Amino acid sequence: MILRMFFHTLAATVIVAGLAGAWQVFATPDTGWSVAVENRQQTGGGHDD
Amino acid sequence: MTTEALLARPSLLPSARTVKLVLHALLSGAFLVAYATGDEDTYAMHLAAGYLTLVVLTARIGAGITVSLGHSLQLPRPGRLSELVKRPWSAMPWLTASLLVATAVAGISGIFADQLPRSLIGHLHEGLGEAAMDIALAHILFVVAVWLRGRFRR
Repeated sequence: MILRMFFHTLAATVIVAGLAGAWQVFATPDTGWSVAVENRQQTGGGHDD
Repeated sequence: MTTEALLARPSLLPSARTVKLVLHALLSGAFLVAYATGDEDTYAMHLAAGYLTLVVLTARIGAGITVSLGHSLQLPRPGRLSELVKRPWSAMPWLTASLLVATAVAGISGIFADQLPRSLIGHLHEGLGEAAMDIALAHILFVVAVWLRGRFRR
């Protein structure tokens, strides 16, 4: 039972994270990842060479 | 298919145990995502996961209140505090009940923090969220300890 709880929780976490992430991207495109990606591209990537 | 016909075929309906498992998974999953996305960059994610936590929590408490005594969806019923000295394992319902209350209080404070302009409530919500996560970790450790105790006593 404890392992079933663990794996169901893990699955639910992934699903909720995916749905909330989609909400973040589509509902507020002016914040979050889209801006982060844009900034990353403008500054020439994230590696400190 | 009529409702009566649906109820006459219980195999089509999820069992109480399945409902409990799904509600537990959704509640803990949504809370975990809400906790991990408290950052300003992921504020919309935090809101979505936070409000989902409150919806699932309401469903869980609602189900727990409406079911009959002894049902598997029944809410935890902590015993007397004096019992904890004699039987430390009886702390489980206390932990579960306090986790439900802490999550509810953190969630409700989140609504106020979301609706009101930047204020002390934001900090209060953050603190309550941290406290709820600490209780959740204690709950997990306790469940694992009870499970291990059961395995080694066989």
